[in-house]
Amino acid sequence: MSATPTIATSFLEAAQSAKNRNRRLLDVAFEWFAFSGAGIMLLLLALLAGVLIEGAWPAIQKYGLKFLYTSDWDPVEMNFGALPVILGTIVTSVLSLVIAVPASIAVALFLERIGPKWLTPIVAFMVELLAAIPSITYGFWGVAVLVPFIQKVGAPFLKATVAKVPVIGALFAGPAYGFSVLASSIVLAIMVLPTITLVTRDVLRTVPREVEQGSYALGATWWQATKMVLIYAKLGILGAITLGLARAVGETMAVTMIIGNRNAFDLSLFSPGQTMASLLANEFLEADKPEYLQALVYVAAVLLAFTLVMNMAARWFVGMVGEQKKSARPKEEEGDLKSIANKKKEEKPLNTSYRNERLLPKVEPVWHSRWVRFSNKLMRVLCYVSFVAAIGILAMILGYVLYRGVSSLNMDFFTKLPGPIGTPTGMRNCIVGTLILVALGSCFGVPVGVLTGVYLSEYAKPNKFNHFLRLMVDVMAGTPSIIVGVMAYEIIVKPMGKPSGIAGGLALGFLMCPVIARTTEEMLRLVPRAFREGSLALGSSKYHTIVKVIFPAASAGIITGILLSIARVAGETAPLIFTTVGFDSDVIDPRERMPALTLKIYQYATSAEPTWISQAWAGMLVLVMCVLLFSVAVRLVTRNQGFKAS
Amino acid sequence: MKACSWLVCVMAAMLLGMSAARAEGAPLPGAGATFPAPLYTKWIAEYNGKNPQVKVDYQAIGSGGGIKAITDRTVLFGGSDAPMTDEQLKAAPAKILHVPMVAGPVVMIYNVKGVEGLKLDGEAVGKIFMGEITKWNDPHLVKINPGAKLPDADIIVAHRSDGSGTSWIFTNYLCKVSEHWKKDVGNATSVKWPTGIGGKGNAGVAQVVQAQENSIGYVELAYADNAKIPYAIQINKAGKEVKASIDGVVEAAKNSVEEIPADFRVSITNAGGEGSYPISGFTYLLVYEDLSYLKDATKAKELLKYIDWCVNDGQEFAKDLHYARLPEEMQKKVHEAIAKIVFDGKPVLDK
Repeated sequence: MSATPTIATSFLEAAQSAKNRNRRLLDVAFEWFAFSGAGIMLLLLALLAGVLIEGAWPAIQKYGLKFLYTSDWDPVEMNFGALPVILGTIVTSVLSLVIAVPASIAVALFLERIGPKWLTPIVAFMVELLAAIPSITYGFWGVAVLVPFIQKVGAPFLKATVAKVPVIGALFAGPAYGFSVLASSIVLAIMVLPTITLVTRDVLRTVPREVEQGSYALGATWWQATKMVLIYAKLGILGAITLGLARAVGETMAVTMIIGNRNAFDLSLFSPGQTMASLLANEFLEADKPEYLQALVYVAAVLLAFTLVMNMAARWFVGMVGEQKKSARPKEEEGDLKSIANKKKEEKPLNTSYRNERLLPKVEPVWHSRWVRFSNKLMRVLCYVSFVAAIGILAMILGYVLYRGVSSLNMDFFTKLPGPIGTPTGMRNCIVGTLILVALGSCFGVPVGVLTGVYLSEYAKPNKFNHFLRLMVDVMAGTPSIIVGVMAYEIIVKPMGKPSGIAGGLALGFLMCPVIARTTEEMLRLVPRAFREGSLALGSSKYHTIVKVIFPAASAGIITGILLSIARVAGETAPLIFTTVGFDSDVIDPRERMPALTLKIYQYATSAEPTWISQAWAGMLVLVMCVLLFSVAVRLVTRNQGFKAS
Repeated sequence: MKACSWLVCVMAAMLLGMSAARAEGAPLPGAGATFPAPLYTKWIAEYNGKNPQVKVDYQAIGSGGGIKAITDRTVLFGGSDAPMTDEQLKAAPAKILHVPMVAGPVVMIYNVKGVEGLKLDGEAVGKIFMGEITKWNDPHLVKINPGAKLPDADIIVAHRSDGSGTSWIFTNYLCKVSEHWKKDVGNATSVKWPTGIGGKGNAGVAQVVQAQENSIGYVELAYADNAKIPYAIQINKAGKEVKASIDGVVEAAKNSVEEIPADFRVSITNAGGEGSYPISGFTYLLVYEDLSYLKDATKAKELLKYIDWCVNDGQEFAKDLHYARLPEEMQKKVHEAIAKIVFDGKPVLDK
């Protein structure tokens, strides 16, 4: 009698161990599978750097570091020095930050500390949308509105006032070009404003309440207390600024359209100039001699180095805030299980209770000097003004696109092909082309991105390699799209012997990867640990837990991230200029050149021909509306689904 | 999972969109000069309409881009208004034929309030682009424009930012009228501009001039005409005032060369003769003389059929867009040259 159960048990054990082996195999296989996504990401980034250095190598050998400080860019004599474009890049991006940073901080302060509670999420959502508006939209608006404004109103005014001041006057000397460093700096400022505002707002949220409360308790005015908050958050804000800087440095299309494309540097802000990115957009396609192309790739490598350093610096700054916070509030940081969402919920009501000074407990009023009282009022007013101005300018741009677009849009736009100059036609093929390119990009970008996200969230142990991997994902997200275009040209167009839809699609896919990886990781992390523990406790394998339990819980968020990244790359122009080039008939074979909506809009927008201009506005409206409506719809559809709401 | 079905819906819509677009016909991609682009797109619309078996395409990326593309063989035909230099021809993997398509004038467009019928001579244009004349009321400009209300304003110069055949024609002219220009800048598709803003393509220069008050730039006539931007009357070598026109270009072509050279590479700027318009040039289609590298006999044949159509039947569309058609004698020579193009050692075109 005693033998039977033994046999039964051993059978069971044997069966289970076989099952376990299989399960373990599956687990290991899946881990490697997820890791392969991360591996591809790293490989791509290595390839990017490798291709640029390899392509630029002859130029690096020939010019060395001299390339960086000589100012002769002469494709006729084959003499290349990148100083004018490097200076142009630095001046435009720094100037744009000078304009954008105070405004962004003011807007962030308004959102977090002044404005009514209900306004914050709405504006935050709007600001996020604005970050998704294609670069050519800002460029086209700049050409149509800003350039004439600077020439006719801005320049005469500045010339009559600031230009007379010695030293500073030199910045406003010379003929008043509308297409200028000044114009592109202003447009860049508008473009980086959402980025800096959003990150600053997040940073302000992490500032412990004690900082502000303590100041108030000591009788500080609103501005004095806020100053303390800003000082506390300085590293985080510095990180936000650096991120903005990185974006401004890599920005291509808007700058190319309004900077005036002159390969020389002039001190006057009214003079035309060139940035590294706009130089690439302008000259890459026509560099007929190998040395010329090598010099351009060298410029691309320098640009990549610039953005790499800045993105790393930004991460370091933001990371420092975490460190600082840890030392400041050790207790609260230890709660590892607490999810981000819960934390937010907890903090919000407390935060908002002293949004207004009048809600503070009444205490003996502290006497403040006139200057202190005045600066307090002034700063509050400035926050209001910045908020209204920022929203006003952004609304104006969208309104202008709407106004010009609606008056030019008709059915022909969707049903006809581009045709001879002067005849009203459509962009049917371009719409289809963009869809194909985005689909191609998704085929590549979505799996790689999602797998990387899964690996980072579920498997990555906190070791040096994974820290490095995460850093690289962030770095990749900050790579200027024009550089991705250069890479796709070097690794696909060159070997294939011709530009093709594949090259463009892969460039878009590359841009999607890091964005999707990051959202996937974030969304998976939002799933409470209890889900994982429960599933594992019931005997599921890790593979099973991830695929059947965690993934479905986070799917809504992940899909939102994917769709948003699709909307974003659909508005990309820079990586397509030399990879897909364009085609004026229906083409669906991705081995051929391909039309794309953004390319056609760019071509038509840089012209004076009335029918082309109106076609460009119609295209712009369609593009912007698609991107915006898509983003809004995705948010609305997925808002009440999945884990987030449960 | 609802979100998943949404994703599926979106993908399905994309596929539907793709299949809705018919895609028959072999693509014949070309790229290059923006100078003839208005005419080329017209030709392509006409030709593709009548010949559904092909899809000719031309992307106006600039002559520099056209020369690079044909050299790299990323296109079947390139477009350039600048004849390729000997050095460039040597760099190409095989012999390239210059097929002249039409000729056209480059006009000086300007945007100065209250000034109509501006007159310019070679010296004025040279000095403006050299950065030596910087004000609209410069004594020299006042002298050649008696009675015009020229403002006391800075001149804003617009030139091409890309490598351009239009720039080649323009700098070719400047080299002939200004010693200073010849010595310091020279004649090429892209040069080191002493002053001014860069616009992308002919269209881009037109845009800059239209948007920017007190500016001056140079574009092919069709671009000025379409955008309704005023352009200057040029004073030619003989000292006569000439408005850009087809006749002026034809006259210039007649007066500048006795006989068109066998490779068709000529310059017709600053020509003598009373009616010659001084800044004009031919635009070329660049194609390999041996198409065997295409490895596709039908493609080679379709390509040449299209080019031959442009040189013959296509010429009638030139006039409406203000391009000068090829003189009859030249047309014949061009046709002969096209007939000599081979595939696998055999001429591609019948007869």
